[in-house]
Amino acid sequence: MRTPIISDQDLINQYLSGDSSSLELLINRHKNQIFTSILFMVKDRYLAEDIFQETFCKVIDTLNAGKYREEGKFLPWVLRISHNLSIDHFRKTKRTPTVETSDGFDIFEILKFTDKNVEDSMIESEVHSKVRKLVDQLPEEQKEVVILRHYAGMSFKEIANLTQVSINTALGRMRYALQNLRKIILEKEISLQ
Amino acid sequence: MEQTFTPNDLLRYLYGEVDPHEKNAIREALERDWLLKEKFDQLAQTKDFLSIDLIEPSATSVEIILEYNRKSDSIPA
Repeated sequence: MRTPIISDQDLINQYLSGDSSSLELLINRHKNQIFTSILFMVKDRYLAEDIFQETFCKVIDTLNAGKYREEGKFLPWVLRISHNLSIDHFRKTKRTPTVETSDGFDIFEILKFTDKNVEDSMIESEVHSKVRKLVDQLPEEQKEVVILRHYAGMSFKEIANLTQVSINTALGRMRYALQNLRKIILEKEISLQ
Repeated sequence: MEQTFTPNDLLRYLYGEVDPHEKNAIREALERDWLLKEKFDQLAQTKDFLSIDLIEPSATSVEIILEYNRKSDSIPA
């Protein structure tokens, strides 16, 4: 018999009732989506780890202050916090997310391949590198939609709310992003298979 | 009269963000309209190209968050 999956809202309620292990479950359930989207935005592993931690500290503070009002929308809410923190970082440093970090850090070099053989790791690293370089060539607004839809797993409606545009604008940006990516791929003769 | 679909409709279909009625209508349109099908296939092929495994944060980061929670003064009763 399959064990029913506890909803995010139930885990939040359990956490608010004093069960700290529910918070750990929530983090583990969503950490990869949240972390990948931060990493794609800031392109620096150390900074992404900092923003990831700060995001959940804000989550904890808000929950404990009884100010959480996003019933049923936990992940979009957390992604909104992490996205805003990433944007704040670039505002503070007066850089745009497209500028390379000073250490030239490549997020795809830090991927863990602990349970894969060397050949698989090399192939995967190559794939990640190709995708990252392509996404980086997109205009900022298109890149943002790609990251939020593909790596954060947000719906177009959620992306529209987060970026304060209409759903048609969010869809249009994704469509242009896919068209631009296809153009670049064909120009550079990268295999789509 | 045959229903027409915008590029944004195709995109919502591609990303699974259409209701069951729209889903059937678009699937049928794709079966009879090869130009529409070609546009859709191009979008789908590029979308697939973007699929990669998600990246995990460090265990230390998760531990720091849990430690912050433990030290938090205002854990609800």
